[in-house]
Amino acid sequence: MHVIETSGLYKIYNEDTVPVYAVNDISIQFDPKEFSCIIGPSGSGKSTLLNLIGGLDTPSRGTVTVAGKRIDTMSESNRIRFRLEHIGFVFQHYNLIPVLTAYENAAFIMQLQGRGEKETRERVTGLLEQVGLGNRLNSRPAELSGGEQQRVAVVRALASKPDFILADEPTANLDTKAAFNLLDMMKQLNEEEGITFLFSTHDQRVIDRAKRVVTLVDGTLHSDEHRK
Amino acid sequence: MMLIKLAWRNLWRNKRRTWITISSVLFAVLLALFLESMDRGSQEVMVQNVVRFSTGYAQLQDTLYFDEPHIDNAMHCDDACMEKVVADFPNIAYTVPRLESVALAAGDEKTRVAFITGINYEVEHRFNEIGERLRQGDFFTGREDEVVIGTGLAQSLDLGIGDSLVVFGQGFQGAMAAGKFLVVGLVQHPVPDLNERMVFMPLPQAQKLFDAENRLNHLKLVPHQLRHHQRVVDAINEHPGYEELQAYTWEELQPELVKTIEFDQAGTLMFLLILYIVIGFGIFGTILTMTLEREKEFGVLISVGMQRHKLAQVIFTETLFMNFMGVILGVLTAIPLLLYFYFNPISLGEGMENMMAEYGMEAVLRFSLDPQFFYQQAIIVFGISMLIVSYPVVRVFRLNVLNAARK
Ligand SMILES: Nc1ncnc2c1ncn2[C@@H]1O[C@H](COP(=O)(O)OP(=O)(O)O)[C@@H](O)[C@H]1O
Ligand SMILES: [Mg+2]
Repeated sequence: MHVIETSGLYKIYNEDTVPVYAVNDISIQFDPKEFSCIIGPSGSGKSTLLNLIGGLDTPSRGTVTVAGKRIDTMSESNRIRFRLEHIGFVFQHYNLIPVLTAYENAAFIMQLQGRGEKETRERVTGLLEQVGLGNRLNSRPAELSGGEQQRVAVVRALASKPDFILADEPTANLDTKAAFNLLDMMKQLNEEEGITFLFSTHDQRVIDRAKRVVTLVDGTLHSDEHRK
Repeated sequence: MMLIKLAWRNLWRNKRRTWITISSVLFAVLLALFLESMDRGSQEVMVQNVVRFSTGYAQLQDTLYFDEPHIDNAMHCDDACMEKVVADFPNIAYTVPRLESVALAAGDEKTRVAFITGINYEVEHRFNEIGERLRQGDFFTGREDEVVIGTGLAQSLDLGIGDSLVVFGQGFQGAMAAGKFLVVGLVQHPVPDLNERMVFMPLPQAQKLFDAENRLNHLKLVPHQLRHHQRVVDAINEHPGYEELQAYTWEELQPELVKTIEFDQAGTLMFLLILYIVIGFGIFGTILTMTLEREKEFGVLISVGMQRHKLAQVIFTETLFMNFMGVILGVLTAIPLLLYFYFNPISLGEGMENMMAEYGMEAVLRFSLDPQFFYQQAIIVFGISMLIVSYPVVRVFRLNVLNAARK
């Protein structure tokens, strides 16, 4: 079964005046354990597509099915709950909560899910140790480098045990070394633990490591290349 | 729990701003408590003085007396009747009888209009401690022709202890009331107007003078608990056997005093209202900036799965934290201050004394320590918080997640 499936998906801005087809008739599927990236020039619709898949935005036409559920027709409150249980998000600007420590940022989402304290502590500490931040549990975001913050963000996304992780240009604000480190970490999580990743980028370093590269041009699907 | 932690941390993002807001609440609460305490304190004293030396908290009259307060409408009530009142109504501790009428009072050379007042000194003193105001002589010696007169009257009639006072007036149902009395005491009545006119004599002596045996203008009813006076009045007015009498509260008997107090309270209320509005806008500004500068963060929180109402709870908790810290600190500052002024009333100085005395007040600012003020503050600030927080909460519910997260 596909974990993500879109069918005849459109996002049209200014439909009544000068329509902009940000996403133009995209039907695509992603399977569990994929490590895929969406590429394309700026303005090609990468973010819009990811937002639609993540239930942050609603399509003008077409359907989005995630883990077997139609999310395009859900009420907002149901979509929020669905995101909490099924989708992990990593943002370009890390977007950690500045008043919470690295540990608390990641634990927060499990607390929102209503997970027990012990389970939360074990999972979050374990994940932070796994990404090499075992000694930064009590640091606030401002005390961490960009690379470290983005790892915390990945841990936050992972902590809730989502069906997949969406990452919109996760390396755009990182230097080369940090970007490689993050990629290695994500790839390791994908290979060793079967975490599904779907990210957008126009960073060649990232593209080289993806197993599947989906190319968008002007909101349409230009190519879909599976690598070995 | 986690939401509370988040709210608490958010509060200290900008320590200075939070402290300024807390201080403004503290200041408002302190000022409000101070004003209310002073206001209520002076009212309590005013009511005490005026009520104790005039109508009493509640009194019983003949049904006709209220519309025509004349000695002809004096009620018939002998000792047995007074005992019966106390026996019939367990809420009444004791009663204070009075027979009074206006008459001419003359010294050797001068004549004045005076209030001839027959009292039972023991209960009168028990009620208003009039004995404390005796300046010379005794409150009655046991003679059959004795009076204690106001120092003001004594001065204008040029009388002293041992001098004679001639009274001439009208008694019950047109009877002539005339007599010659010996001044045995001088009393300084706290109400200046009355001090110029007051002639006290033992009740039986007054009843004889006015040819009004066993009659009273009114019988003051003193409840065990003063604030229960309305209950006492209601009980009597509903009780069978008291159809010819009517009981009143001091509020009914002194509507001007009630008006004065209401006017006073309205003034304080207006001032406090303005104060709360000013402070309210201050808090609003802080909460608003705290909300606006975090909209991106809110967008992220909603994106990763936080329901909007939970976010609203966080903002609400932040507001409550800030305001209640202000209230608590304000109350903590106010308590010692008000305690001090409660036991050491502010003196208004010599100049104010006469003016204040006109209203039966002492020239001091008294403070009240009614615990009601303190929880009133909590309720008001809670109400203000509710009002203020509604705007950011609305913003959170309207927030466009994509726009916010993109900033
Ligand atoms: N809120 C919006 N209103 C109007 N046009 C928009 C809006 N959001 C995105 N677009 C347009 O949609 C197209 C795709 O944008 P986007 O998905 O952000 O591209 P990418 O992420 O590939 O750079 C662009 O032409 C952009 O200008
Ligand atoms: Mg983009």
